[in-house]
Amino acid sequence: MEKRRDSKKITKHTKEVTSLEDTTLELRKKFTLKYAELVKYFPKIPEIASREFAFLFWDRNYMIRHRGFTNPQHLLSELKNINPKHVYHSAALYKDPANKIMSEKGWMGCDFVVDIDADHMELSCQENHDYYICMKCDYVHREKVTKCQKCEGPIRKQIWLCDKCLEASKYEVIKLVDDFLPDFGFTKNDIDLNFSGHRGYHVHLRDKFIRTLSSEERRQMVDYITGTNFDPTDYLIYKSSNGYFIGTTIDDAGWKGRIARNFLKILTTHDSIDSFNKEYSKYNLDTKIKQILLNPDNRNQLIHQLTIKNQYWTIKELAKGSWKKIKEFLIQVSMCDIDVPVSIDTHRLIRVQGSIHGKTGFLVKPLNYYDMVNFEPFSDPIIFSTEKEACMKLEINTPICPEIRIKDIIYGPYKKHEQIEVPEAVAIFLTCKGVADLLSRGN
Amino acid sequence: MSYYNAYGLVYKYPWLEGGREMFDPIVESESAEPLVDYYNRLFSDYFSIYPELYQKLLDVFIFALDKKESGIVLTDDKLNIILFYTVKTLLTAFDNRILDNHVANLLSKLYHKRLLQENPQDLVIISKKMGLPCHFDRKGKDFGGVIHHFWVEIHQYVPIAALLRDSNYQLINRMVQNGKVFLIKDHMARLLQEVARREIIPDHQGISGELLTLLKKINPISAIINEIAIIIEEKKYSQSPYEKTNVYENMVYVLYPPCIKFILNKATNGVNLTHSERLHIAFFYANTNHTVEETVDVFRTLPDFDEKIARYNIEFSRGIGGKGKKYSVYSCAKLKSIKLCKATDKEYGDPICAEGVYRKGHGDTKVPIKNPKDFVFWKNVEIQRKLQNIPKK
Ligand code: SF4
Ligand SMILES: [Zn+2]
Ligand SMILES: [Zn+2]
Repeated sequence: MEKRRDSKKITKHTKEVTSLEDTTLELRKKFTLKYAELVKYFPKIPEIASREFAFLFWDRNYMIRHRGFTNPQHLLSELKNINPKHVYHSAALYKDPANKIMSEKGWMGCDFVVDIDADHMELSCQENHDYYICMKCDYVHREKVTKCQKCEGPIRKQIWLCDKCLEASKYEVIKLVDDFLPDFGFTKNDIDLNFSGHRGYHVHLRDKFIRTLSSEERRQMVDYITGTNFDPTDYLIYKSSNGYFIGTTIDDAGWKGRIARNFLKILTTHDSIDSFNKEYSKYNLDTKIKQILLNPDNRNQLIHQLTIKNQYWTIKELAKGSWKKIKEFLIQVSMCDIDVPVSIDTHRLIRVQGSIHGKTGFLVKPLNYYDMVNFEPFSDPIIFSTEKEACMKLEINTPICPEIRIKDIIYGPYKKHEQIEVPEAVAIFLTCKGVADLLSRGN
Repeated sequence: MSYYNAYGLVYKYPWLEGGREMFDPIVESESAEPLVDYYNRLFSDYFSIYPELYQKLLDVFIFALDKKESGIVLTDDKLNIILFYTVKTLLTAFDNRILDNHVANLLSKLYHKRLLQENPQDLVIISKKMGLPCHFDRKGKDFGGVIHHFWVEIHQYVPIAALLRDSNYQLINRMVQNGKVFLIKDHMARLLQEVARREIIPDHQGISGELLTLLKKINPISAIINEIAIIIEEKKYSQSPYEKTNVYENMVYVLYPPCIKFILNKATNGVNLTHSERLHIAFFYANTNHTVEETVDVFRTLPDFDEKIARYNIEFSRGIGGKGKKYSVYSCAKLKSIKLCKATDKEYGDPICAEGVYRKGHGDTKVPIKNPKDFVFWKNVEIQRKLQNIPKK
């Protein structure tokens, strides 16, 4: 895709600098107007009457919880009235969702929610766009600090999003849906999926059986997905006496089969270290081992052994230590990176599909699996205007504001006090992120 | 008479439907006879029809508390039903979780053996009746050369796996495919053993006091209660095999690090240990002058205890008998990474673990300990200092 850099810089100083409250007020108005439009298309919330709703607002930093709505109209008119910044509902279903005492709500079950989000992943791009900034002296730290290294002042974390973050999240969602959920007996049609509005995706499973599971029981599923406590006792070991590695076969079930299938997939997809590194450089497999594995003879031999379902894997040059590293690597690539506490919590609040994310102004967009595969997170959930005619003037208030792509235009990076004029969607993104103040309302 | 009774299954597995009523037909009795009289009559009948009942009952408790493998033979007649429910009633009355676990572990192991002998079709019927329905497939599925003839639906499997905690039975280590968990007969029997274990443990509902008073008024039962009470009392004094030892520079309980105390407590309560927990105990004991016997004793209370396997593993961890090497204790870093560290645990935590210790050459900053043996060393220092009233630094 052709990407353009844009945004008009305002050279002359404008006198319309507004205070923070004004920016908030303006955002709030924009959201309200947008909700008035969105209600017509608002997605259906399953079992709405049994869910607890919660809201965060623009001007208060506490949450209003324990709200209940018997029907969608009721919720939608409330959204128009109260203008929330963030809207959540419980993954759990209750007899009396509005009851303020948790134990009296009457828990009836809880969706199994998987949150896949760049927030909990370690991605190289984060070094380039997530910062720890001193609230006193503006000093920018790239590493996590709890107080300013220069003046000991308090720190705020400024997190950003980029294509890489969202690609990484998408990759994990596909892994979850394609590779793990079928083991549990779920197909692509059994899942309810949405873009989170920020750095990831939510997958909801609402099957009757899964709803009744306790936290401990959910942990079984979560461990399965994340590869936790995988404990191959009599396989994935090297037998020095026989000179082979006891592997697994592609027909095996569960993790056993997953290891063989992933190994085969990797070997068939990559025939050079370069191509291998493009996908797997973060796993730090020794170059020496990669060379041996990808050497044409060895590679063919392994592919052959895997294809004919021979569970004994042999490569002359590989001994115990190397096989151990290959085993670790295969386990690592097979794991799915999900936000564990979300899935095991049976009272979790989760962002409402169809609402607007208060930190980006992006739509929390429901998707089916195929939508998701082709989903463009910097275009498809953009609901505010990207037209030049709808430009707004802003002043950047953070020492470092990374670039952001909206549709196919890249805006930024910007410096503190820089005054810019950008389309509504970009202005709302930057102000929601808290890195800019509004100078003028735009149209 | 129900379908299952016709098969006689309830005599073999008394918790199945109809068993309770066969033991205690009070619901059908229409007389307004006082409870004490009713039970007195019931039990004197039972004890006179089955003279061996008395000794059998006693044996269950003695063997359970001695953590002995076996010596009890289960029958498959009404005596088995009476034995089962009388044991359960006594457990309710004693209201002692440790006793519950010991007895349940012993009996469930006996039922495990029994389940292993069932033919596949009967196992399917029993499993359904026990609420963990399995399916049998004559052809089976071949995974790694092992034919798996049984399968359980994943939603039935997950709850029992969560209870078992045994690493081998965690969902991730099983053959899972299309919402099914494939198993061999041994596994199936082991899962049902856990269900049986839970059937034996009563759900204590605060009625123990009343019940105990009532039972004490019933002749043969009161004698049994007294004998069991004496055994429990005796056991209390000789309970912890790990409290009395004087090895590793006099290893008293306080010297055990939090991570070990936590596991010991689990084991004492008959809760199954994970693979890593077992290894941690075995390596720690091997490196702190504990004998193989003492180590075996820790595992004796576990539901899946098998003396031969336990002994083999422990000896293996010490490099006995083979060319194997002796393993060193896990480091705190390793234990932290596998979430076994209990440094800040409310019950077991200790500042030595949580904050570290003052060491020569490190000035005023505390240095973290590196492995659980360090804990023993520093805890001992702390105690000696306290005894001699030396300030900490
Ligand atoms: S710090 Fe070390 S010795 Fe202490 S509890 Fe943790 S792992 Fe055990
Ligand atoms: Zn500072
Ligand atoms: Zn990124």
